[in-house]
Amino acid sequence: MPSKHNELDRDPDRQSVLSSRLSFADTPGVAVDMAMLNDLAAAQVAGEPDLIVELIDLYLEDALRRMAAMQAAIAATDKATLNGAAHALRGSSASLGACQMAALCAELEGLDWPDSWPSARALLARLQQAFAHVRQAFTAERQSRM
Amino acid sequence: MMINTASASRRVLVADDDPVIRHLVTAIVKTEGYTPVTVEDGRAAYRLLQHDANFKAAIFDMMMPHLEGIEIMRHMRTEKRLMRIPVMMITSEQSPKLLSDSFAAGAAIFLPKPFTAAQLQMMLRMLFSKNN
Repeated sequence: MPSKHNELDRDPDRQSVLSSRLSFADTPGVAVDMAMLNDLAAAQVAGEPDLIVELIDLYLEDALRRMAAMQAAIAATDKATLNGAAHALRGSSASLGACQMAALCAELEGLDWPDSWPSARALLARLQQAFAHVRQAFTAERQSRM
Repeated sequence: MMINTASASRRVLVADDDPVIRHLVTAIVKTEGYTPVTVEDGRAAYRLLQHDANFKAAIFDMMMPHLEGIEIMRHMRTEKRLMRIPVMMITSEQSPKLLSDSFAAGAAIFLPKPFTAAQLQMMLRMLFSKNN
């Protein structure tokens, strides 16, 4: 919701949190914190399909959908949709250990509008690159569990 | 719809538009022996609560399309049949103001993302103890 995002953009506490996360975005070679991902196996329900595999499948599908939404939002200069997609992808990325993607999404959310469309395009390109690494890492983890 | 009283007391409403987080929360609710009832956004949660109050607890994402978690919670606090249901708010935001707003609206527990499975399990146990 645009009004809520605008409020959040002005929140100094949130800006501090976002700034602290930016360092992840420039950390080379850290696509996924596998320890964080594997920790979620504690939520595995006995007798049900592998939870980590299911989470990976959901994430890879959802991330592609969110990035497509971001691309369309940038083309339409739709800030609210861009922020909403970045916010959603940040949450799931952070939860599954995709720290670099989470940090890039935080950067997208923290852009200083209204002259930020070139920065948004550049960040989305970096996000897509980061996603390629995450997909590689998640696919390998998925195969090791099959 | 007929609802078995015993199973109704084990039902937990989970509302989150993120399929990854929704699935993760659902799995953890199951590991704790409860039955998750999932919806994909705030409006669906609101509609469900209009005719179904048989929940042990509710877990809402703060930011959802159509209707945000905090708005559902404010509504729940105005209806006697819903106000007994303890609510956990989950959010990617870590602003003290949002935390304060959540508690002011009636949240029992506020859990920032990312969280570990153990953290969510612990928070769920605290949440379930709220209406024992």
